[in-house]
Amino acid sequence: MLTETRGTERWKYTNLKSFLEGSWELAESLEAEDLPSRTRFSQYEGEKAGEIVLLNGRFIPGWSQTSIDGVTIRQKPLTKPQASQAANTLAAQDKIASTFVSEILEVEIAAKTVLKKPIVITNYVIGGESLSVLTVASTQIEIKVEKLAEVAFVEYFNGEGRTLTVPVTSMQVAPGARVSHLRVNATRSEAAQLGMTRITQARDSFMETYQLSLSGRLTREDLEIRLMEPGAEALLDGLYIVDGKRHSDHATTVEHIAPQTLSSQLYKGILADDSRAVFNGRVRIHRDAQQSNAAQLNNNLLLSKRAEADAKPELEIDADDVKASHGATIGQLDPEHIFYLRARAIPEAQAKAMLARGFAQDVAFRIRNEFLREGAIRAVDKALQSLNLGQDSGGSHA
Amino acid sequence: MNLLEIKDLQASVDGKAVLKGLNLTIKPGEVHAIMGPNGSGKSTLSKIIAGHPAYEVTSGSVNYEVNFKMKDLLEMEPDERAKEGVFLAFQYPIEVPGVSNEAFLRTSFNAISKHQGAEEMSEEAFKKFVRKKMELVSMDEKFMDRAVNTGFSGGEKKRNEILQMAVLSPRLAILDETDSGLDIDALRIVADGVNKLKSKDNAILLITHYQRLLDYIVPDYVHVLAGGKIIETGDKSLALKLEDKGYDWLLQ
Repeated sequence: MLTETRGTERWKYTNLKSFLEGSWELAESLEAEDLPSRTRFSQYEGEKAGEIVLLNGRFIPGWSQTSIDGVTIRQKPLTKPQASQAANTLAAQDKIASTFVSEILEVEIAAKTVLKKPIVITNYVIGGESLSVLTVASTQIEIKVEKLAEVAFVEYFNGEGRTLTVPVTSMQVAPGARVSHLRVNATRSEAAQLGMTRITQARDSFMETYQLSLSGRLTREDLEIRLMEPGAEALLDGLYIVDGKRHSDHATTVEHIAPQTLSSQLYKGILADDSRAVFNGRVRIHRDAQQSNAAQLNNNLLLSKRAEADAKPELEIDADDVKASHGATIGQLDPEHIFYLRARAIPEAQAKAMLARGFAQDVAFRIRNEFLREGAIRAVDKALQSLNLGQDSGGSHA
Repeated sequence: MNLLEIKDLQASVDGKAVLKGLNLTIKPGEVHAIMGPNGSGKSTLSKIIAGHPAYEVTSGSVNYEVNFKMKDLLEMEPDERAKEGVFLAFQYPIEVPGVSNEAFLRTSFNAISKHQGAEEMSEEAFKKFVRKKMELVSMDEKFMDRAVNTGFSGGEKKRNEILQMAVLSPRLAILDETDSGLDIDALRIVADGVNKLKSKDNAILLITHYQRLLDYIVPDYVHVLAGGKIIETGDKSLALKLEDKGYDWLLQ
């Protein structure tokens, strides 16, 4: 199932095979009487309008709170990918999802609904006892945001054991609608996640989406945004924190299809120990997308000499009247920054922690929706607490 | 008792000798000014006192009074020195994106308070305390929420250094070209701030290119640093003479 990823450009730096070895089994469906106590799982910490809880890929109504004005949630059976859909537009995630998913969860936000607090979609996966078995759970969520609605979503992932989570989320944003979206991968275990998010935006719609990978053994997140009509604007930012032997790979694609569309992305990474992280950002400005504006930046902070970051921006421009920029940096904590803090009585370890936090929270501070911003800051602080800023810091002085 | 004693200090940077036998003694309550041509080692001296790791001391000693005993300053980590009251106002204050001025200053203040056995100040109490100090350097409150020095103008950065000095009340404050790049209004604000912080218990070491600063902060001693050594020491009239005649008469 994963063979098609090998040798392809978009999967150049991530070899799934080494992470996903062993036999695979479908995560078991838990009945109400078998449900573990919810308190054993961490939760998204922040205010919310309602919550959809998925356990091992299945909707758990008893743990969910879904009566929200203007919001309709329904389950529908999965139709297999249509033959008309060219095989090469399907990602590895789609193929796994179509094998392991039996139903789609549909979330519809009625026109002009205003929800500043987020609808939280919590996704837990419990792996089996044996580490040689990979427990797979996949979900497929389709979100429709109707005209002029303003809504916020959080997708929160956590679990335990050796698992593979394959969440496939699609979002259609109607004219004039405004969406704030935060994805938090809070798993810190043997978990692997191959995520796919596809967003389609209509005229004058606004989307801010933030990916926090904080992070499991393996994280691969694909994000595709299609700006279909004039005035569509997308802000897509991300933060990945990896340590130990963890690996993260973020692949974004922004398609500027219509004129006067705007995209801006900032992806930041903190890498400690022997970790590795990849950022591959593709921006395509189509021939008709005149007067569009695309900015992309990827900054990596290496806390260890053994960590490795790969940044691969790709810009394809077929229109002539556009503004586009991209850049990538890979560096260490600046010794002059560390010295400045130490000269103000702040001990070295604390100085490094402050600087790393500043670097990371920069992404969270950009979130416009205040509820999401607070939730993100909290999640990032939690992840930083367990990070090894270590003696083997590349930021030591010359 | 002396606050700082520097004896025959020799130091190099990237293998190049910069200080070649510098002697300097400072007592509490004194204001010293060090002047000298570019590249004479003025900034090196300030970085060595503060403990910058890129500067290597090859010979000599730097002793500093801690609890009525002279201690080897060079043996102390930069943050320990700061806790004992050594403060360097940077020539080029560092921009620290993502760290708010308030959090930075409070962390710094509490680290020093804790070291001195005082209680940490609460966020609320600290805000009040800082607000008063900000008036001293005519800084707007909004600067507290901004990232440290990030996007500040040159003058704002220098005022921020003096604000830090006011909050941390050091025993030995070294102002490394704090006057450079300031217009006369900003210079007055900075100098007024420094004058208000002066006391019989603390000492100030001014490093400057320009005599102008010394019209506002009056030194007890003026030293000329050239070729890695102090070659002349006088009172404030020496600065005026340097302003008038330059350094050449001393260098010959």
